[in-house]
Amino acid sequence: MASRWPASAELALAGGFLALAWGLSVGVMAAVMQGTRWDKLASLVTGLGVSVPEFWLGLILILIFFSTLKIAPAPIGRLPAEIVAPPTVTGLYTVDALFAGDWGAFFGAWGQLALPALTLAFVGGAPIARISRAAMREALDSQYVRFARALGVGRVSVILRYALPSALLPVTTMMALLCGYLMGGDVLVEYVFAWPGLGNYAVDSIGASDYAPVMAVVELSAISYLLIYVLLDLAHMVIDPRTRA
Amino acid sequence: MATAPATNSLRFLVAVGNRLRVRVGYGAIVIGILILLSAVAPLISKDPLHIDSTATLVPPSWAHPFGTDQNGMDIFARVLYAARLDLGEALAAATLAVLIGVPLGALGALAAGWGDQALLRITESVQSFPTLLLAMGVVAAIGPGLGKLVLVIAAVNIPVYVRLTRSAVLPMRDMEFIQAARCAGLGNIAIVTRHLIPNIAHLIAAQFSINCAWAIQILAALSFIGLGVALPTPEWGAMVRAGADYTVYGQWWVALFPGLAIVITVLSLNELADSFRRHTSR
Amino acid sequence: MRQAGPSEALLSIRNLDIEIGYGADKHYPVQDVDLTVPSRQVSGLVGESGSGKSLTALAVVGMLPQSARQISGTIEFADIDICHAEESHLQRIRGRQIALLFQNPRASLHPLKKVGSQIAYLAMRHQHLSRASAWNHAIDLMAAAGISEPKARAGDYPHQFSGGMAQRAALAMALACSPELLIADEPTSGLDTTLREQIVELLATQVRDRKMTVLLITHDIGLIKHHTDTVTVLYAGRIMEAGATRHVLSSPRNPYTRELMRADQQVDGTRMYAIPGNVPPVLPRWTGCPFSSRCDLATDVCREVLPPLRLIAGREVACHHAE
Repeated sequence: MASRWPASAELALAGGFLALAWGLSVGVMAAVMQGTRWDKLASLVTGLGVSVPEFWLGLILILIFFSTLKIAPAPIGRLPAEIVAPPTVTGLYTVDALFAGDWGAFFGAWGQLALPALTLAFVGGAPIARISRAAMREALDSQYVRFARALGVGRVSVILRYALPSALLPVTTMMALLCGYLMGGDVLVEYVFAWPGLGNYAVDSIGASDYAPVMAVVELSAISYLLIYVLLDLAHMVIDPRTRA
Repeated sequence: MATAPATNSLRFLVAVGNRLRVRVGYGAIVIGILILLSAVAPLISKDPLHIDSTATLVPPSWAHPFGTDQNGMDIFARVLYAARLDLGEALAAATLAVLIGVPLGALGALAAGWGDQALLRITESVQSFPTLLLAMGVVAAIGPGLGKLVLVIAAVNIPVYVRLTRSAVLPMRDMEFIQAARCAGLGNIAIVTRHLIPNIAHLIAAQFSINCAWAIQILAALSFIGLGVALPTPEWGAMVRAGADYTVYGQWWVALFPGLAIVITVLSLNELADSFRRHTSR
Repeated sequence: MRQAGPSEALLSIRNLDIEIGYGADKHYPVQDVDLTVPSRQVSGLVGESGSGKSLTALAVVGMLPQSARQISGTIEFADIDICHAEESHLQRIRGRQIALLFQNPRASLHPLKKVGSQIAYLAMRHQHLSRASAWNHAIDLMAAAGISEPKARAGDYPHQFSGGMAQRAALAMALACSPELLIADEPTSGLDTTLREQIVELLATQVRDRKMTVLLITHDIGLIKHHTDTVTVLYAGRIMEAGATRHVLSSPRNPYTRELMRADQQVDGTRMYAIPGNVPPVLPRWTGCPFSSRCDLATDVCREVLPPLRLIAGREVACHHAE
């Protein structure tokens, strides 16, 4: 099981990072451009992100980008068939290839990672977009923002210096939510893309009617989740001066 | 003092009904159509379990609007019959969660003291845990089976109602009409049903729709990995799994249609929930 | 842009009309309001809550809420036509020339930033100071605003400030912009009596020391009595009386002003009198005197005809029975 962990971690990190990136930017932009068609478009996209099953989305992406357009590589795992894995430093092929200067492995690994990470990111980022939009909206309507405007601070400065920091405050909550989502979604996406991680390991054993590995994976995820939750809670105390009072 | 029970129930229903007046938006319409279609499925489609080895993996055509799968079974029929299962299971799980969660939450709020606190702590820990993993763990422990699945999904959804009801009831706890009702000799339970619930009916309805959406998603995901409903029973998630192997080879219809059904259903349920919630600005 | 000389009108509002809402729900919180704020003085704008005072202030800096619009009138500040100014021009005026202090100062401070930083940032922007000198300037401003131990307090966060200190901090932020006109909207609500006096004293000092002009908006006529040079009395969106404070408050000609004075009297710290009735929550377009429903002297003409603003006994008064 230990050998499978880096694969899941790599997928989760890539997916999570992308999810945060698009979720935060779309959420904040939608709040700033409230009421415009961009806002409505963002609403539509996040609505889809919350409703679409990631396992199905993965398949559709494979259909479009691999089967039809032929620009994505075959979903056979972490590396294309002909590439050999780089020597282990972190266990993440995308990073280790960089260390080894192995460009073939580098691009190969990223190519394989692209679709599964995007699948996770699309679904995981949607609730983040919603939360950050609401938080940004609240910040923009607040009296401290209006006061800053009344004292002559320009629109851009107001958004960046006054509203944005407040809007990012729930980021620790969002990350906890994201982690929770990634642990579940990971399992599904790994199966679709033949990703050799813990999730796939669990699903394989279900096929063999052996439920013990499933329990093991769930327990491991549970413990990691709780640890992350505690860490995020502490991080929140650092960010928000009011909690330190 | 006691009035005829029939009048009481009627008044209760009217009070609840008043709160649920919903603008008929996309959500309601689509769900309505879906329910209708799944109800009349036998009339408009073929037998979903009929194996036809001469017509395996046929792309969409007049004979088979959604094509056929690897066993020659008609996908259109299977999608409709799966709607019965998925929607039915979702309704069952959500209803169960409401029936248990709402009273628990209300009583917890009225009771106060350590019982209330304990309830809060427990629901907090259950809620923050990733749901799919929780469901996976439980099913792996107690074994698959539709009945057990409904229970698991219901259980996972109970905390939301507990907290919802509790936070709605809490501010009402000290209001005068509660005191008056107490003086009139009504027990906690009667107070809850008669006075408090109609006030939050629209919030419960919104949460109910969302829970149905969750339930469908969890069931589909579990079936997809093999812990849910097994083939050949038609279920959307299981059907997507079956189609997964063929998508790579370009046989897109096997996985697309069941997945599309999930997306449409969940989207509509979410929209329905929003339209219930919009009633709070009264 | 010419600086207004002392006692010339720095701010001049004429026939201001503001409507709020849409369609059938429209109402009119400010109706035909005139207001003159002479330079280097403290002017008062007094009225119960819901009389349109805050909206008037917002209109001056061009920050009316989304649902409100100005439908007629002029606002002139030091030769600038505010109503027709571009947003970019207005932004240059805000802070640098007109500073508006909102009610509830706690909410005006950014919860996640140190108080000193918030003040310093404005000083950097408006006075082009360097980061270090801006920080020191912020400390000076906090001291000027009456915050004790300003050096230590500058590093604190808003939630550590009391209501009175928050008000002083907000004032320091406004002063950091070195405005010509300071509009203070209810600067003393929620504060106890001694603090109230101190804050208004502080505002009056700014006029003296920094050659500023202050418009004090409040419902508390006691504050107006002791600290303002001119006063305008507003009720339900319309002007009741306006003029030099010493004339208006010593011998009020409008029944509403008299009622306000009466309600201000206290015996042993408690108010003995409250004006009977309530300010209507939603204001229609008045066709008669708005106070007629609560006024002892009201007659038919009061209810049917809008009393015009007339010059009587050295002040402007709108009442059919003013003589």
